[in-house]
Amino acid sequence: MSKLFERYKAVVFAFEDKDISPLNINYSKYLLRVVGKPIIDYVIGGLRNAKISEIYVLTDNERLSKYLTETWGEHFEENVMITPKNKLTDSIVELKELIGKVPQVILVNGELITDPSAYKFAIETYTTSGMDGVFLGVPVTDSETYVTLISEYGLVRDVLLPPESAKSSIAYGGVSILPVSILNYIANLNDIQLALKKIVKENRIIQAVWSKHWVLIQYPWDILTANRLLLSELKEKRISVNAKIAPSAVIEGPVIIEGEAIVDHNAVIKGPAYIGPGTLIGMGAFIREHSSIEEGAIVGAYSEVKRSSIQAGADISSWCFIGDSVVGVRATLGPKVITLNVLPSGVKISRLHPVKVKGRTLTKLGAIIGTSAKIGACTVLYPGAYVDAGEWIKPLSIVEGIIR
Amino acid sequence: MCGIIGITTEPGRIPEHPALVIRKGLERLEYRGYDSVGVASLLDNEIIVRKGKGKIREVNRRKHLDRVSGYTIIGHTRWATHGRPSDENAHPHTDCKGIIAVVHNGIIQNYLELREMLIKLGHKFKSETDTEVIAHLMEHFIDKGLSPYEAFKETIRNLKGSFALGVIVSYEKDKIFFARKDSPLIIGLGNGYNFIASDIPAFLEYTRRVVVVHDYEIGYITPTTVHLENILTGEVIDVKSRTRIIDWTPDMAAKGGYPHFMLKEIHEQPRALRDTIHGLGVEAEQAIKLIMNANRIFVTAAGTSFYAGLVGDFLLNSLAGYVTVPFIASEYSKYKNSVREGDVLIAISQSGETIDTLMALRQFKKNGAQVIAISNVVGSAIPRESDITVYTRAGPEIGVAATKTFTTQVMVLSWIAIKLAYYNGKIDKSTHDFMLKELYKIPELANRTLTMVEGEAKLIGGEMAYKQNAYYLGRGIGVPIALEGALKLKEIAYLHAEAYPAGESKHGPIALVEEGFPVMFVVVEDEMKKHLLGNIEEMRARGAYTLGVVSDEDKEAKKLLDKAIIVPYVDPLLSPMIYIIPLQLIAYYTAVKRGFDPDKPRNLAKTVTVE
Repeated sequence: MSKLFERYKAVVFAFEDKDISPLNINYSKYLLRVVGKPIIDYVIGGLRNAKISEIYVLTDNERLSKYLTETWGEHFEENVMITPKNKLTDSIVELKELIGKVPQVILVNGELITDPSAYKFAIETYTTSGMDGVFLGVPVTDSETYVTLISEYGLVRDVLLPPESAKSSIAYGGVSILPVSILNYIANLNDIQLALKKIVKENRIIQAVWSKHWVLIQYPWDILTANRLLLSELKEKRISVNAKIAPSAVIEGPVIIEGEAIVDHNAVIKGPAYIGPGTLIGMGAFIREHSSIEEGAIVGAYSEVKRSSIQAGADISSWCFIGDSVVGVRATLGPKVITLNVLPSGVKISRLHPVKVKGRTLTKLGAIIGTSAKIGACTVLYPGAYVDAGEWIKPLSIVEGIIR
Repeated sequence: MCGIIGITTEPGRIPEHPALVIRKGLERLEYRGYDSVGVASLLDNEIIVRKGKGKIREVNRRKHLDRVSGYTIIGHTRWATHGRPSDENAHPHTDCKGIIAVVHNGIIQNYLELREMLIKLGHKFKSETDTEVIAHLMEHFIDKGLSPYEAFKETIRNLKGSFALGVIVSYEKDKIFFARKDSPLIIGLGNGYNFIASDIPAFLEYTRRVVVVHDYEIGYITPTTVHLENILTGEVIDVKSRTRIIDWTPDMAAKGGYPHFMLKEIHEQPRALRDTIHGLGVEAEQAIKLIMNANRIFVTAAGTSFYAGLVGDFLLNSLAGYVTVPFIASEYSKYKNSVREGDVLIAISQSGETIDTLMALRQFKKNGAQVIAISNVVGSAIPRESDITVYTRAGPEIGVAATKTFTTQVMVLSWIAIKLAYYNGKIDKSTHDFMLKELYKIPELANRTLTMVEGEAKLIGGEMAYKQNAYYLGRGIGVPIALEGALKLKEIAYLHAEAYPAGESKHGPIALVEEGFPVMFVVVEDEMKKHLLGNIEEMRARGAYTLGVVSDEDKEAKKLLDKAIIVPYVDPLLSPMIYIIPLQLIAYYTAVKRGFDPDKPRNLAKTVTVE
């Protein structure tokens, strides 16, 4: 390919965030797993799928940069810039030199999980529209928690930041193709969202409305939403030949079981669910729909897991009930730990939608358990309980729900 | 909307005959318009024009478009805006001497003044189109001694409106001039040949290197070079830096940033409504006169158009004080003996070809009635056979489920009803002025509605996908809205949805309601609202899952409903154009969630031409 027709170049922003703590403490938000893959892999994979090979990542987490180099190839060593979120100027200048002279860049939010065709869709819309850029726009409720777009006849007129953003129900979908001058704005303003607000005033940018599945992982329960969306697209069972499934285990509906997983006697797995590599599903355990047990996690004998995300290396002992919860990386739960998952009526949590159960409207959220936390036997976790990373909770405790 | 294409090539550089390349390109642009088609070719300092009315295949059979000689050819597929579809009105248009040929997509707003001026100068016009003035104006400047490119530039400076243009001049060998403002235009770069076109798919088979022309840019292509400059600043643009490569087939190109045509058309409604209301003119006034002198008034249509007709029927009765008889077009035989001279039929059809409506129209004409047609396609069968036609200016609608044509039809009917109410003395001058002002605000309100409701509609669509049935209920003007909303859900999401006036519940349908049965209410802010609130209570008591479209000034219904979609407040009589938007979106997102293609519903055709 001649130099004239350089391919698109993408810049991925992957900064740590408080909203998802304690899951990202001593770890990285972008390495949390959703149905077997770290969040960042969805972005990089999607971009690669759209034939975009030059990808630059801005992050403030060394762990993430190491992961990218190990998994996605050595060129990431150069392409990952480590910089604090509020001191972007220097690294943007460096980034501009690396990118070279191109008319436009693709900006991607690292916390995006969506269908890979979204990237192609944005590029196609851009190439065929003749406008200066494109924003992926996604219809959402709870728009006050997102950055939203105000458009007029398809052209984006304004970008609204929370809490003002409630005025529009089209959220910025985390993918945009913008004139390269956006990098100057980011460097000058030291803020990505303000730069977006500025660039729409001076350029003609079109909105591409995206109707397939889409989640921005910003709150812990967004992981559960993403699990549910991805798992509900499963249509069939996929069980690795290297998985050990006891003859008396029951596997019902669409379930993925990866290699080296062990499903012990009388365990019941109801799809759609994901059982990662090297996991152990103990004797008589019950894994219910929309659960995702990530690599190396253990679900002890007679435990029940429902609509939860058990992150890599987490250890759940016997006789536990884990419902609508996120168990962080390498967290340990003693025997008979119970999460309660029905929020008191009247409590509203953004992006959490009530469900109708037998005629009653309930909002469900279990516990959010941080990285490497240890929870003693017979502890009861109230709905919406947070357990900090590395915290020890002694047996027989009661953890109240802290809803932020 | 029209489609234009042009190619200029060195002999033998493109693998197929250039005229065949043009014909194929035109076929791919057919979604932009298809009522007439034409090509013009440059051959030995002469311009050959072949054009005609009809679809590309038909015209090609008659005029052999793909056998025209020459290596510089422009082509056009038309969607009539000024002048009905006919052989004369088809593009390309030429000047008096036949040395200039023009293809044009867009609307020239100041064409009447230009036309008068040119006629005074002695130019002879052959068609009724706005485009022809471009050819004559350019001829005028060439006669003044300017070079063709300078003349072209001067012409562009004198045009107001929107355009994407392709122009050939007989003694400018191998050159196609182009210009763009507010209409799409793309350059395709080949090896020894270059293209211009309205859209990429037109030439994608031959090149993947494209340059998008921006507004106020002008230039020309030759087989090997591209000249591009900004007409306002005079700055010459480096084409190389603008070149993009299309890596894959852009089947979405035509959809302009939307995954389906239906969603695109839903989002186009603000623009379609604006164009429609600004396009209402003499014909609408004539239609009003006809209605005022009518003995009895009938309204007929089929499908979505019929529901638009029901809105018209409601407005004519409740606002303007005329008794009207609405009936479904296929049931026309009922009125065989009762219709007589002095009666007026309002026939509504998007395509103007709907056979049921056409048959009804013929029956009425036979009995001596006069006919007013409301249609979106200029010169189609129903407008041809009607006494007066008022056109909606929604542009071509590709999605089978009608969206923007419904709202624009309602727009036309509302305008007529408001005027009639005033002439009939039912409302005073100030109310009339106020209502018209409100009507002119509708496009802006529709835009706001789209911004407000889409997230909620997507969420509800996701829930509806798992239901089997639904009721849509309303009162007064809410009834046609409910009917249309239910039809959308049936058409594209294949959900059994039924609509009826809310007061009918107690007389039967409520027996079906059980735990979780979705019931959608259309809560319009009129005097019937309190009764509707009672109906909501009724449904709730039986465990129904109650949803509703409510205005942002509402206080009571929001509390009663399980889920309310809030739309901006609008005068109740004008509410259909706003309230239908969330219902269209719900149907769309339900279909997408259920995995169906909303653009191609099974068993349905866009235009029904069989009885």
